[in-house]
Amino acid sequence: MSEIQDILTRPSAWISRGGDSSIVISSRVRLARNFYAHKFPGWASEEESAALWSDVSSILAELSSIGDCVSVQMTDIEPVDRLVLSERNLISREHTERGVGAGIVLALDERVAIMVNEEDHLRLQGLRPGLGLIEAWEQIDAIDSEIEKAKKYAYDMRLGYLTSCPSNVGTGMRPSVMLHLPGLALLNEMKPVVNALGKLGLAVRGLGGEGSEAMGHMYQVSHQITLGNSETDMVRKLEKIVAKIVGDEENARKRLMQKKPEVVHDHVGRALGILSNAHILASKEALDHLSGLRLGVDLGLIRDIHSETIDDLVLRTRPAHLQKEAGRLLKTRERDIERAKLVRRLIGTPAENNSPDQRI
Amino acid sequence: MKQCDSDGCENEATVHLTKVVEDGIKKEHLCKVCASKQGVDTDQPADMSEFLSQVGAASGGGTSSLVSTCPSCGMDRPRLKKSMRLGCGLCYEVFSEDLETVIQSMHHSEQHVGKVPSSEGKQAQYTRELAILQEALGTAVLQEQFEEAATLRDKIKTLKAHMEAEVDA
Repeated sequence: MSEIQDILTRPSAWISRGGDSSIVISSRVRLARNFYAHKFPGWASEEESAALWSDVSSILAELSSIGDCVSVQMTDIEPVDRLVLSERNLISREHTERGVGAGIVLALDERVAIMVNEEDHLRLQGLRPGLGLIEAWEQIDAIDSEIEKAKKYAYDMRLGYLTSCPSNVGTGMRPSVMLHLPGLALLNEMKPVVNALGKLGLAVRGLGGEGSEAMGHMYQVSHQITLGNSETDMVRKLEKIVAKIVGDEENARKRLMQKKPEVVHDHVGRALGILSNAHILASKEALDHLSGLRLGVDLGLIRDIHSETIDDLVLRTRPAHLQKEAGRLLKTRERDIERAKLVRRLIGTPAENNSPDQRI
Repeated sequence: MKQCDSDGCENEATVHLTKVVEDGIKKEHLCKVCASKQGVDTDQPADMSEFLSQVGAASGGGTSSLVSTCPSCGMDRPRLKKSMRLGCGLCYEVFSEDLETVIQSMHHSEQHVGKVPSSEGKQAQYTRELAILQEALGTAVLQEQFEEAATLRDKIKTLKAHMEAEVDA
């Protein structure tokens, strides 16, 4: 248990920047797997789920391809800690609410997170900072091959890996990337991008889950179709398309700076002004302005704030992270005050630092 | 058209039965005449008709099914219809007719071409390779890349020979 507390109280290992592109925040590959002759989690009884957890968690703990890891049942994790895991994208929001038999096996480096008894018996997730879909897939593939030797999967020659929802049959795989696209968003060019991706069988959703609008101009792009494509084809296709979107975003930023420099300066300047001076800061407001700041750093308009500080704040200003840091439950208004305090402390107020207009 | 399973009958099979037998389930495809000989009342469609019309698969006309509960996990058709979540791996076989159009409309494919668990053995690996090659062949023909198509056709031939040799062995 202390190991999971170590992970929860330190900065996230994978949101830090990887590679030379700051546009791709992180990559993820998840595989859905179920075991042969076992009821799927949504249909199994509590006793069956508990038995599967004890069987499977001991198998997972022995895997050589996962490295040092911690395994814990959801019922043994405090509600706020479950939400911290969800805000770090290590478990799904749904998983935070699951009971007996539901658990997580988490590599200490946060590069592998396995949800047990989520919608499927196993949701194997490989995570990497920046663009790293292939490495994430290779590690998850090795873990998957090790598991199948220990316990037989539900598999069909024609339909592939059998999953609780027919939308995941086949590879059971969903590769995705989190992208920061303020340039395209400021130019109002996200809609055609979303439409084009939809035609290619890819889904785009904003940070904060399905149906929500994109907070902080962060978009998750994922490959949805699991039947009829091999895993490597899916990963390669997504990497190729991500490279294209990154090119579009870089291009949008260039056009913005050439044609509407005052719009960019205003956007970044306001973000810095509000973050440096606000005393009450809502979650979405903080993310939107941190996005503006991130763009300012990327464009070289802001030089004295590190991009790592911004990415760290993106996580630490989320509701559960704030409460974890405060060591107690906070009401919405209390959170908004604590959030503003934390941001002012890390970004610096004009009184302690340079004034905003000197920075830009 | 699928022919009736009864010996000597050449009628079109319009009644698809899924029966629970000792070691799992057994599928039978019969014409209306042979089905009624077996005591199946095809004029009273089973409860799946409403479900089928919802998923857009009502084209089967007189389609009916005896089994509406999975013998392995107890999942039944009304609950499957409500949640669109299956109860276990065997459900895919039991409710295959119900799921066919759903899966096709979600994925535009009917054949897994990805990873195969090593426990499935050589034949499964071959089947997967064959599916990949056949898809590539289709694409090559569509794009009029005939040299590529010829190479793929040879590869398919070799692979099929391997598969048969394995079965014989």
